[in-house]
Amino acid sequence: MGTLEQKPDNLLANVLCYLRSSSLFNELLCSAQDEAQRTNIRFTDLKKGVQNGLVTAGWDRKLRNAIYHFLQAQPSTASSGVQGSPEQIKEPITYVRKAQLAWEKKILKSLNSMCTELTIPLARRRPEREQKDMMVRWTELGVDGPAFMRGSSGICRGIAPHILPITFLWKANLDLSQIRPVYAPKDFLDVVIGMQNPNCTSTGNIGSSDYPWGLVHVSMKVKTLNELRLQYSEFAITQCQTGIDDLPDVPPELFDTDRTRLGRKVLAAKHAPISREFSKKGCPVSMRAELWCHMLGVELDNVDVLYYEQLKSYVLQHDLLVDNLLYKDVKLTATNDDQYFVFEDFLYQILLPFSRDTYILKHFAYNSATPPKSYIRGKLGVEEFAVTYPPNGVIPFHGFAMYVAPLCFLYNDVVQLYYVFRKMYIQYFFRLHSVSSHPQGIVSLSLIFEQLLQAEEPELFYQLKQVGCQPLKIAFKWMMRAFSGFLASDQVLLLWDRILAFDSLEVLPVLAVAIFSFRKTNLMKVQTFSAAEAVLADLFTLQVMPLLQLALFSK
Amino acid sequence: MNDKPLSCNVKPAVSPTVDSRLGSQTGCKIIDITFPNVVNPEVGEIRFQNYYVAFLTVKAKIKLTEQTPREGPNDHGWRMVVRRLQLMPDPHTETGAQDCFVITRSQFVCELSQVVSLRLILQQPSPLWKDFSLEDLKLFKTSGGSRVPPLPSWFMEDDKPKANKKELEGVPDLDSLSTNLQQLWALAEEVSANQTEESLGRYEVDGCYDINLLAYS
Amino acid sequence: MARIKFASDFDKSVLLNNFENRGWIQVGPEDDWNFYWAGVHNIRNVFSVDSGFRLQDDQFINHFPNHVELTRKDLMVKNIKRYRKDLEKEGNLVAEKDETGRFIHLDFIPQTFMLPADYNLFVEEFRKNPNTTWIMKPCGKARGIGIFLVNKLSQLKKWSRDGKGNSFTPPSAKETYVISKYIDNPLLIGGKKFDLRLYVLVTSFRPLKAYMYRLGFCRFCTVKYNASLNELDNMFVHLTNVSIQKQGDDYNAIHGGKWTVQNLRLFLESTRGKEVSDKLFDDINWQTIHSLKAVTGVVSNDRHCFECYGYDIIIDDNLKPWLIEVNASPSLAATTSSDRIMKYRLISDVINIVIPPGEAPDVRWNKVPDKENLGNFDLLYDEELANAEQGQQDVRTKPGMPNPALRAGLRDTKRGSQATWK
Repeated sequence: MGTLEQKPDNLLANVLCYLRSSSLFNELLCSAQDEAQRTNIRFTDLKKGVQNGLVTAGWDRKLRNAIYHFLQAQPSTASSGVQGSPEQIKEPITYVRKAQLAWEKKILKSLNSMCTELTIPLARRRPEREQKDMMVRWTELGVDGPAFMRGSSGICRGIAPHILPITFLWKANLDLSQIRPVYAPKDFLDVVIGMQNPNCTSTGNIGSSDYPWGLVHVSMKVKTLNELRLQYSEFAITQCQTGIDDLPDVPPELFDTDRTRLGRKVLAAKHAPISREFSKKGCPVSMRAELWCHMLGVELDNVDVLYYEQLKSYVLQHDLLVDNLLYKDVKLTATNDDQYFVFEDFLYQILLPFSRDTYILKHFAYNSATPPKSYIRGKLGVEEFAVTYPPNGVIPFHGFAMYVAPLCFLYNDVVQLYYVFRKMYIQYFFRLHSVSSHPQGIVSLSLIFEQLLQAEEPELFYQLKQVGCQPLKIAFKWMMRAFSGFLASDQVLLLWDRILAFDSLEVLPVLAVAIFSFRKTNLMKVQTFSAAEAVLADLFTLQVMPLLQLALFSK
Repeated sequence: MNDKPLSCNVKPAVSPTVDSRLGSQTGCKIIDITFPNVVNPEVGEIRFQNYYVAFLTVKAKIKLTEQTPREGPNDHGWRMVVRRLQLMPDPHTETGAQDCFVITRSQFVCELSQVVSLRLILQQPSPLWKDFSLEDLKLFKTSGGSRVPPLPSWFMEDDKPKANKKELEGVPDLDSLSTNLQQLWALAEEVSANQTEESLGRYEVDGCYDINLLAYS
Repeated sequence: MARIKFASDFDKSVLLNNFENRGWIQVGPEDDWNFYWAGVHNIRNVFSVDSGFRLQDDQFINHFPNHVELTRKDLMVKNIKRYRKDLEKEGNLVAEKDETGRFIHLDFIPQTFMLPADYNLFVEEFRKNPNTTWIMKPCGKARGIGIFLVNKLSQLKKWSRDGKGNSFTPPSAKETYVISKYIDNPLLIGGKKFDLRLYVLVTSFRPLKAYMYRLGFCRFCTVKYNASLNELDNMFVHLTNVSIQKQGDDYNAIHGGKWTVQNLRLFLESTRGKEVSDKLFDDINWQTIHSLKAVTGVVSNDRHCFECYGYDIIIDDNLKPWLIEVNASPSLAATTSSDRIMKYRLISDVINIVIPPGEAPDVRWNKVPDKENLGNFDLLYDEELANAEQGQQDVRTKPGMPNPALRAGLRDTKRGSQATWK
């Protein structure tokens, strides 16, 4: 578009405002003071001297990175120079907003009814003894779980029991089998495909006219194959890739040697855009952890370590129903996964503090979802006692832990792991489970999948549709989890390399299409949905990069 | 956004008809705006929330005066203000369909003073949508683009040495020294005033976070 | 070509399916078999002079007659100690020692003593470092049976009495124990301790021909590792044998606590870097070769034999691998479905190396299998190739070929020594 007014002044002011309010500003001032106190600086060149000193100290790079990450986090509407109400920024399309609201309400009801049925509160303060007990077991929560308390069960009395029809008794040895995931990808898929635009004529609601076979009935503008080819031009078959051309059976002088050398330079530069550019061809295994930090702008300092410790103490202080959901999720997914089971305890050390982290609330400014609200017991409806629940506003679904699991291969330090995951979540993963018209949102990704598959494999799509097996019904869970737990862990990491490098989730539907293409021969033979599911059940032998190349550049 | 929207009369959208059989299927609608209570109205900014309008054209009828003379024998004072501005990048898809837009003076083809009336021509070529219109339509006298807080002086200051000052060897320039020190002091003050955003967010109220059920709201 | 006849002491499906899928015919161990997958207990019978059995050129069996030289804990330690001493006497640089008297390149088994024979030596060592934990293992038993931890001398009083009392009758293997320094700084992943199970196929000891299987795995403790002493009684923490872990409440039947070596590599390379992880796996290959070379002189190299060993290795937090023991008969029972697939492929790959596809079984066949018949095995060491290599140092081999001689050569230059490890 570009026809509407750009507001560079506004942007500049925003950047300044952001920088000033970040902790970077204090550090910068401290450094500036240090520089100013150097004996070799003359009063006359005070300013120049301080500036030069700051550049040598790496502030140039730090500021560039900070601004880069700030700009990246800007909502996309800023590009058209238009800003609506906060509600509009979250989601401009009314009926999409309504669909998300209705979905949220359903989740709330489901959580509430779980509380009522099991007679447990959403949150309660842990007794002193239990706090200590949990602190001791902090690094091995997998053994007994967060809600387990040895000995007698505590009783949690409501301050004003008359408000609620039931008195909540806390069962210390809460049977985890009673806890069920609030929703699974399948439930969320129903929301996505159930969405209809009330302003759409009847012809429109069958699906957009060019792609009539799919399940998604909204017509967002999504990228076509040609646009995706341009976007992912680095995937061209003629280009060498990490993850293909650096395997042990390929002579290293063809690619790996140069790649490693270049990688070292990139790491030394510590500059986000450079790391991005480099990672478009994949991250060498031994450089990935660092490259991801650069791309995400994660740089730990002592405050971050303290902050994590604080979150941990919040976990100890209060027991949340959400903890049980997370615990159950880990038990259902990672614990039984032959790649991730070793990281079970790490997952709790990430997921539980994550649920207490109010920093996550910021992302709701650009997420179509809204954090659930509650009131402190006995203060129902009193606004001063309104709180978000859980503190980070994110209610986990079945499979949520799998967003963290692959990262455990990269970071052995829990704190580092935490911040990388947090950034990944507020930058990418949240889009995979909220209803939105955003081009990176799950609705758009689903559309890309359906349109690409229809355009590239029409006979396959038609055949599957005829036997009652809509492809999205299988591919949706892959995309919603960003393929974590479906592919071999090294392949998930190679895939996520590209999400970070291209700053886009659009690689997910492309891969999903590629998998359908790749298994086409077998899929053409299936007569039932479960047969199609069986053909696509085991993806652990698949190699991500050759598949992506196949889907984008084979025709 | 201190300035109030211009008082004006926005007429309901009408579809152009050749005879009464042609309804909304023309893909075109017209909104007329008049300014009954304003003397010499001047328009600097148009704001609205889109509702499935793909293209927007704005025309204005102005009072023909000496400053704005008649431009031909058939000139009845109609001027092109905005020519077919694309609001939806692809009329068949949702993108941009319900976005908020601000069209400012810099995008106008001509100056909008002495306006008698404005005519907004809405076009939607796609048959997918039942209806299209503009909502929350507001006009402003001036563009709101200058609402940016001024940049701090230290940011804008240039490095040119002040040439006309006498400089003594080895003795610092007292003026610049004191300005520099003042700036440092001001910066330090600002630090204390600016709480960093990274501060710990508390989620409980007075240490209490005992909750039973979620609120539907 | 006549159909191959096989015999098996096990009715494990990973074995039988392999044989049957090749169209082989099952016969009894007493019959005229071509391929016999025997239990270790039957090996003695097959090779005993009394049996009057003479193996023909078309007969293969899966153990060497006196494999115990490698696979019984005390004998392995004894052989390795002797091997180091011999090299040292030769003045071989591989047997180089550091200033504290430790072997620089050959220090790959935890300090170990035989009990009761070495009791006095052990006591001397124990008194030097009274805070060390030791692990007692019966020599003749496998799968974690009879293992216990020791951190007080009083726990061994029984041994001292037995040792002194019966000094004229040497104790049998059943009564012999080895006591080894316990690796108390194991590498932890996700806070959990693990050991490594690798499969090594030997088709000949003289000249030595050995292959390393790529699909080894890590075995994880289901219980969190905690070095504190009150946990000493909890065997689950310390032992990673699946047969012990299976008794724990937290045993997971889906993955069985097993993690592939590929996962380990991905984790190590991601968190510690490529160089150190490459070095770790080089070190493992190096120590495997030397453990085998330590017994080449004593194992009777019957050309009808091949053997697939289970190597148990613990990695410490400095990424140094320690060879714990070698099993002659690694379990072929599948704990999980992926375990079943892996073991099926293991047996299949073993057979393809011993009897190359399309060939009739013939022990005279010089066993240098084609690359495509190696399956998931990599050639670890081929003494003939290495000697030939030695003869023409300047002739460069093809790049990218796994060449153990070359790899070993590289290693020596890295360590600043020109000697090979022969």
